[in-house]
Amino acid sequence: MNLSPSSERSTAHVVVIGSGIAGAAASIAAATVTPSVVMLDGGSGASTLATGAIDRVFWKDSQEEPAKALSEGAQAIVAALEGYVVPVLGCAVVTMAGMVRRADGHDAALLDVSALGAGRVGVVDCHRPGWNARELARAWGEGYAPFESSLLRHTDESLLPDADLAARHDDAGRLGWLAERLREALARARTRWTGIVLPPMLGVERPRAQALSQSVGLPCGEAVGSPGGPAGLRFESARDRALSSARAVTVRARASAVERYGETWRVTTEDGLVLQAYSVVFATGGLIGGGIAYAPSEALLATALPPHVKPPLQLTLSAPVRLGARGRLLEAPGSLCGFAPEALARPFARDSLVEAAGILAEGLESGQSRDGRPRGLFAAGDVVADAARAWLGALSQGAQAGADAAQSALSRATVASGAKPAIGPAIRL
Amino acid sequence: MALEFLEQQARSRVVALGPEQARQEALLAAHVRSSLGSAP
Repeated sequence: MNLSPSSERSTAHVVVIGSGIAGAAASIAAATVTPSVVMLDGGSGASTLATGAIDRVFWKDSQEEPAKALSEGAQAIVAALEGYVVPVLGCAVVTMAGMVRRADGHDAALLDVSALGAGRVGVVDCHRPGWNARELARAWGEGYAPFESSLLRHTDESLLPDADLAARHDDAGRLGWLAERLREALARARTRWTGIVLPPMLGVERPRAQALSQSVGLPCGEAVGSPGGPAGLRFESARDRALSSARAVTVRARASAVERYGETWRVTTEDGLVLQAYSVVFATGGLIGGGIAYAPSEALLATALPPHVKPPLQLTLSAPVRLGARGRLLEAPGSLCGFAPEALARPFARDSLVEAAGILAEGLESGQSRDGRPRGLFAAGDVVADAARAWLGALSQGAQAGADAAQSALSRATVASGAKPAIGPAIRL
Repeated sequence: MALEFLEQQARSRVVALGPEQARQEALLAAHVRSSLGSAP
């Protein structure tokens, strides 16, 4: 696709702003409808900080809600990403914070402890930062016990960051070496083991747990680690492969403005690229991902009252959308200096504003606006107000927004050109 | 009178967070939720 500024050929059907899980899902879903999809990748965000346990809503909340099946569109995205498991009845994973927790799904490198048979789960005893097999086994409960095995090959590996150690296991030879050590340890052990939990270390390019399990002859997998570990990097690899199969174009740039341009939208990036699109999907991420920024009134630092009221949370690009939280606009704080800090932040507020604020999706449309003119703005993921900041929830929203955006764009492109639009090559799902 | 009151109120508010701290707070909350299932 020609991406030269302002040229006629740079009109895409759909431009997706953001490359996290919501943006990736939107791009893949849109690319099944139209071949003309551009995803703007402004760098790593919250999805790259994900730890591998994936939920539709916050997992404590999900205990109160009946489990809902994923939509067909969302299932197709999970399948396209190759590397995530979403069992119908959910799963259970262990965390390095000492919890056994339920999840709606998991990165395929993680061990689903709910699927294991009777017996003990071995917690690999090795020198890794934040990993204490004895304490973790005690915290996870009776079914867990330390499992003696040496699986660090080089002396630097007791200090390497999780992601770097995980990258070493992308190599089949090294993974084979690890499997051999585990098999040796199993042969020595008297306990009947039903599964083995390892620190986050099983691959960066792809999850290697399945290959390791087959080689060892016992389910093996990681525990949930900290943000910035291998699970986030595996997401990036899975996303890039899926986007490339879907033939969506990825442009490495940060969007700075979205503005109306006749019947289409004009997206400008920070480095001056201008894209025209019939539909735009906002999937910029929220406060963590960088789509929303906390910008308190400067007057707070001064002695004078500010000249006008300014919401403390703002979108990081200029666009004709409204920010809000809990169904209300953010533009009505109780004081000229903005919201009271107690409303914004923990520990004063349980449901703090920094987690709820986002684009009010009500103002956007999935078909036509009130006056009957198609609009073509969509939003998905953490940037949406009041949405649970959860991975699988963002994926579902993205899948829906991408499909809607592509349909809306196709119908308007058809009207604009008077020609039958070409349907793009659907990805094999 | 009312303006004085408002001004007093506005001045008495502390600057609780800066932009980077706000981002860190959201990340911390997400991580704790992911690992412990509860808010800090």
